[in-house]
Amino acid sequence: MAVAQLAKDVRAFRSARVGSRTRAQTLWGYALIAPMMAGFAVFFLFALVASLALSLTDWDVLAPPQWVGVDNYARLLHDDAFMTALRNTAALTIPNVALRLTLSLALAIALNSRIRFRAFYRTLFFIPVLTMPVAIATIWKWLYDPTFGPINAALGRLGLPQPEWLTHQGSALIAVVIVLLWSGVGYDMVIFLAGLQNIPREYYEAAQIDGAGALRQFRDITLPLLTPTTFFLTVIAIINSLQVFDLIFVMTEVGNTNRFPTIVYYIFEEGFKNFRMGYAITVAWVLLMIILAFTLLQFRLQRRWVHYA
Amino acid sequence: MSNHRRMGSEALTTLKTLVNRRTLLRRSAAGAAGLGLAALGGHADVDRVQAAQDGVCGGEEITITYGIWDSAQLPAVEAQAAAFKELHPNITIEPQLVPWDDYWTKLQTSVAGGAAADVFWLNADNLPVYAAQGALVPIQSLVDDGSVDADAYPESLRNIYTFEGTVYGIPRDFDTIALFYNKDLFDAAGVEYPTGDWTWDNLRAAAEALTVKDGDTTTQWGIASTLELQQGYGNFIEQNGGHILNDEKTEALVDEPAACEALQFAGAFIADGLSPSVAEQQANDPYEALFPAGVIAMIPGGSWNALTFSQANPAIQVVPLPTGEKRASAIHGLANVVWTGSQQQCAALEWVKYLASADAERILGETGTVIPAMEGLQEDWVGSIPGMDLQVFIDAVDYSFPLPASPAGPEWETKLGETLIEGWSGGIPPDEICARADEAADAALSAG
Amino acid sequence: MNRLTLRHALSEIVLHGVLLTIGILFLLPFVWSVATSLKPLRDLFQVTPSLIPSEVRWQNYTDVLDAVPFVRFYANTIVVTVARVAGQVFLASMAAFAFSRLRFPGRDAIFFVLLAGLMVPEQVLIIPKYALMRQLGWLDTYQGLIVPLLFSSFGVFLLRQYFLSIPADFQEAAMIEGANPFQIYWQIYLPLARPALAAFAFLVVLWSWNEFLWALIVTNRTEMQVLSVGTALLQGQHFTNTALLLAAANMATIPVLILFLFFQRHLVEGITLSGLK
Repeated sequence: MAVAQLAKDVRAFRSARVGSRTRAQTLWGYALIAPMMAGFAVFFLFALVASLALSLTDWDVLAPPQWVGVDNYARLLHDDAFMTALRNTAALTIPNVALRLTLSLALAIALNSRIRFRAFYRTLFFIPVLTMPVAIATIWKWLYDPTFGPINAALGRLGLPQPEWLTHQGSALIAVVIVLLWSGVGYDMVIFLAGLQNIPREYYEAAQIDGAGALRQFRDITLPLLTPTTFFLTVIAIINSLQVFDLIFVMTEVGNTNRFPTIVYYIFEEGFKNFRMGYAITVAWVLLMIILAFTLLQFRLQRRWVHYA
Repeated sequence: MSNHRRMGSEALTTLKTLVNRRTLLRRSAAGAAGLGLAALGGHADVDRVQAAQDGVCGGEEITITYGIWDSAQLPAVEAQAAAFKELHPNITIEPQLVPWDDYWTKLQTSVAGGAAADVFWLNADNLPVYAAQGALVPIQSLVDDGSVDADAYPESLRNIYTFEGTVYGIPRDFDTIALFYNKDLFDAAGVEYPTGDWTWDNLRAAAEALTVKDGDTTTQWGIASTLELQQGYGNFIEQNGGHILNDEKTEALVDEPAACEALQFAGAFIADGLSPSVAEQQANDPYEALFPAGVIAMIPGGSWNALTFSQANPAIQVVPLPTGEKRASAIHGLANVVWTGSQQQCAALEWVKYLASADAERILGETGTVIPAMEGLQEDWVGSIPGMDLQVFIDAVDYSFPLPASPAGPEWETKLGETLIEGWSGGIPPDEICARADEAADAALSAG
Repeated sequence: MNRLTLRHALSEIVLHGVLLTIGILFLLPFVWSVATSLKPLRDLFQVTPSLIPSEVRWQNYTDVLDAVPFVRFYANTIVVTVARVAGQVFLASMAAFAFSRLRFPGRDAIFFVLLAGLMVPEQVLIIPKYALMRQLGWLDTYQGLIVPLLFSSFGVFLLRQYFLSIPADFQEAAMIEGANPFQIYWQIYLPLARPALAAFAFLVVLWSWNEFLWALIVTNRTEMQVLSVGTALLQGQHFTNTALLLAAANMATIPVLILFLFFQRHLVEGITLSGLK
């Protein structure tokens, strides 16, 4: 009786304060995000808005911009080079994201079991993240070397065709995705590991008692409880894949040209090599819209599959 | 357009007024003091007064920022800065080193953002663009009033830095192209070394004799038909009597018979297996790996390759490029230019004046890292590698052609190269390559 | 029982075999970069990369110190990184707390605008940001290197996910006690989030240590350079002594590697996105 009365009192107490609490919460909310948003506005948003205006100009960087309205956007529709870059980027994003998440999860599960030398392996698979781009480029270019490289040597011995790898669009796609996976999987693995290790062991023990096998445990316990991590990594992976640049720069350049340009590479080329900065910014805005659309979609869909605490 | 210019000329006017007033004051003060002091018989004081008069550009402490991209040349630049400081104690030169790969990104950003270096290095590709957009201060006046001896520099070089009749930069150094070859590989194959009298036929024959195959794989190539215009096909085009661009730099001429023949000559090396393929050159740079490692017998290279090659392999020697219809070798060199937005244009021009002088050029020569552009100062460089006949590069100046560049930017060259690479990888039928390359370059030139 | 143990042992051996085989591929470039940093000049002109120098040249490492003011680069990088980490962790965690635990109008929309920070390649905005630096007089200064990079959308996203999986009971209880949101954030959620914060901090160190483009653009004087740009100065226009470059790069990477080894535990237990025990 007394307990019920206490509960009622607490509820009344809480709801009485809801009104003022909401006002207070609103003010506090704005206050706590203010420093972050202020800095973000000054050092990012203003530049972004300025760039929107610049996308409506013809700007060769050295001289002031000249207004051209939506000409740049119209030009995009007929731009073969842009279409190629778009196609390349899309073609690498799908396998990269799918494979990367799968592989890093597999590695994380393997390194989450009680096998020996876990710490050693974790470091091993994380090392590409710490390796210098020049070292990455040298070794991988050698691996893909059509004449002297071991991959083609092995393929030759097996009687299989020996592609040109980095200078041929089709094989360059495969080559680039492999290197992207190689350099990114350790990073995601570590994040998955954290997510895995925080699933209470009791759940697995209970499932085992109930007679569930490893696969069933994975499907019913691991996967669902990992969804917040998976969601985060998926969003980040797609955003990063669509903006791949550094690797393209070191791996697929030959002479003065690039055999597998991505969108960001195209942006850089137009803006800083061809003196068409206004147009480059236009391409960047189109990319932003694409990424925004994908991300929004994922956030909408997350209600269906992500389980928060 | 005029923002930078207006700012520049305002600053210049203010500076000029200041200079005039101060010099006037100083001269009169010095005059009076000199008389007074002389009357007292103090020579040292007269000297001090004289020194104060020599403070150019207003006499106050000025710092000139100097943008450069090659760490190997920093000691030479610092030596020049020190010598300049002796001449003008009130002006300090501050070199700003930016890695080559990122130099242009940074330069464009700083020019657009309004804080570029006062004086900086520029190359042929970019001169027309920067000059056309008004980012550079013309140096014509220094040439006209004799502060800079333009005739001391090779004409082909000077032309690179003249835009629409106005001089914007004084060449600092130069490089030409010649043929490097590996003596050991020639000995092994029993082929006579290349000479200065070689023709295209000699080149082709040697390449064939020096290509070694092991079954299906090539273990050694006779020549590297490289994918760059400056070291490779550009020279063949000119040697055959063709041209890359027209004089107005508005149109590509690679589709003309002479030029096209040259392109086919270059492409044939790759198609016939005498040169590493495009894919191979992408995986392994011919200049950094394949040639020094002894897997290619001959390669057209620039004077800048000489030091590295000699250190990598003492068996490497050099001769002039072979003759086609005539001799030709691409010449290029970088120049010092002045930014229109500089707040210290007077001092910047003084620095450029000094850099164009024989003193400064001699310092360059002494360090042996580059060939000074001023005529007559090349002996130091020629003697810098005893085992190699570097005179070949100096002689090449006589038949050199300047690298063509357009105010629309270097995109035409990229597109041209792209098409050639596509063609030489087998992606375009051989008889269409010239036409497509010409088309691509033209499109880029008119896109602007 | 025996068969089970045998099967376990076999599967573990197979697992190790697979992991090691893949692992070699992961280690190869790193090993190559260490080996090459010890090579003399003549070893650098090879068609196939080799893992064994013809002669071990420790001098490459001291040559780097002579060629560029490496120690100065280190000092600059440390100053800039410490400041960036402290600033980012504080600002991002505070905002993440608000975005996840407080209600206010426009909250989710503002969060989404913040996410846009991840969606624009940095090259695109570099000119306006540079012009702003010039206006503020922040070129060639520490504040120019630090302040514009303190606002991490990635951090807010990451930490918001984390905070969302901390049960709201803590917050409710504290509110009844009369604590204001800042106190709840500072005294309750921050300590609870320590592993995630440590993980985030490590990631910021990793990013900041290698950050290149902004440092390149904002600093002119060699004394103000950080390691990433400073080591790039070793590249000549026509020739780069790769051995020296890698020696410099290896020296630059060592602290981050040590940091990773040290914080590996926290890192793994850190980015916990599902529940607390």
